[in-house]
Amino acid sequence: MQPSIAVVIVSADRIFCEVVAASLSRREGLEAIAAPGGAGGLDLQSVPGIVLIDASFDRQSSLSQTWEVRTRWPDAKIIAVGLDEEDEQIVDFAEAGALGYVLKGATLDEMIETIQRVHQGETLCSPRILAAVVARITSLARLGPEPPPREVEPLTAREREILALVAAGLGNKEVGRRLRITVQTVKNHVHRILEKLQCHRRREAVRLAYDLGLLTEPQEGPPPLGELEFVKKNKGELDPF
Amino acid sequence: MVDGGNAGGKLKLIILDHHQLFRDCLASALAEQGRFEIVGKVSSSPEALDRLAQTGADLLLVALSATVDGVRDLIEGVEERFPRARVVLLGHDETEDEVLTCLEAGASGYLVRNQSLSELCSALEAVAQGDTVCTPGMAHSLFARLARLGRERRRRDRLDYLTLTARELEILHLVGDGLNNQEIASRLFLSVHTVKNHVHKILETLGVHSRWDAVRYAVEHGWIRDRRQR
Repeated sequence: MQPSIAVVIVSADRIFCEVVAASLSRREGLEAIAAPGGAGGLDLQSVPGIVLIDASFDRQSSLSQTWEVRTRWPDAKIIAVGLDEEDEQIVDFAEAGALGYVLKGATLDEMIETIQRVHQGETLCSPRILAAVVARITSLARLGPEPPPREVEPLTAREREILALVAAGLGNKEVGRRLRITVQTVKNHVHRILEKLQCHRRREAVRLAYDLGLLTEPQEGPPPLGELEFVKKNKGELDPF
Repeated sequence: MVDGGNAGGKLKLIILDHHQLFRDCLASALAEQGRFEIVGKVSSSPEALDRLAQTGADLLLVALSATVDGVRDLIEGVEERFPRARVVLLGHDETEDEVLTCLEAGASGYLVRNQSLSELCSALEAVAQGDTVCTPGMAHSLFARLARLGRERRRRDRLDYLTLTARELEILHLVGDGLNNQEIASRLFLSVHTVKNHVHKILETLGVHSRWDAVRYAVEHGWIRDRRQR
């Protein structure tokens, strides 16, 4: 017997989640769980095969949810549900990670067919939307790939340590305090770092360091608020850049 | 949308295929459908381009054979010289990469031989309208391709948070949480005046007009989480 497809339903509308989950679970081969709290609020034994994201209400929020689901469960296949036929936002959802979509007004059977198809590696898509997807691919492909990093002198361990602290937002004084060295020493190091990376400004240096892989990229964007809390202890202006 | 074209009239179609028998059969089957006028049956790329020049055809149906190499050049040639014409590929077991390359080079469709004549006809008509058609498997790959490119773009956008200073970013977090200037000032041990200056600088840097636009910008770029829902 084939294993069931595990489906997670994400929507701000709790009733939507629970009703859809219940309807799908009644079908052979599907096991559905409601996740009204989003990807974050769920602790699963195994990775879901399919995640349905309710895109019918707050678009911006649904798009954020799609990105989050993608980060949380990189192997899950996402389907955006509840979009309008002519809606080119389907392309935005595809960019965010959706591999299929279900239109507003679709029947339960149509939703199930989409789930099964996507699970098998197929996407049903109108020619109009497909043209939009190809157009978006072409325009994004034009933006990258990024130019190869220029040759830079390697940084010492100490320099990398300091750069990491600068990247976290510390000013020279804080770096000095953290590493128990004088402000002047910090400044010298920073100066040397800028020289090696051929940058004029600390901000540029931090960006280049991320691009070159010298610093580990933050997983979820900039350092969370907690790490920045320390700055409030400093009464004066803090502008490391 | 199709420009000019034959509203109500037949679509002018050229078929390119090495296999003459298949080509001729396909031509008469399509002609019989009533919607197409076959204006060329050719067996090489140069012939196809010549025929396009002579007839101003709307569609070029290319049956793919062993190699896909020359096809890319053909597609680019058509794009350049005959922008109104649409190229549709008819294949059977090309690799995903080969097909995606062709679609991204400008082909309007990739179909396989394993489908019905009426499916082929609907597909050709959709293509004539400016849309793109391909097999569900290829569509899936296209979506996956877009998702990968989207992730790279997002990564670049995320690093763009460095356009704001650490302090500005911190304030933006708090604005996103719904705090007003007074509350932010108390939280960060700053004067309200300083907070206002920072907010003003943020709006200027991001090129937006309101705090909420700034928050939306940051959320869109993945710098801060959208906390409003929770």
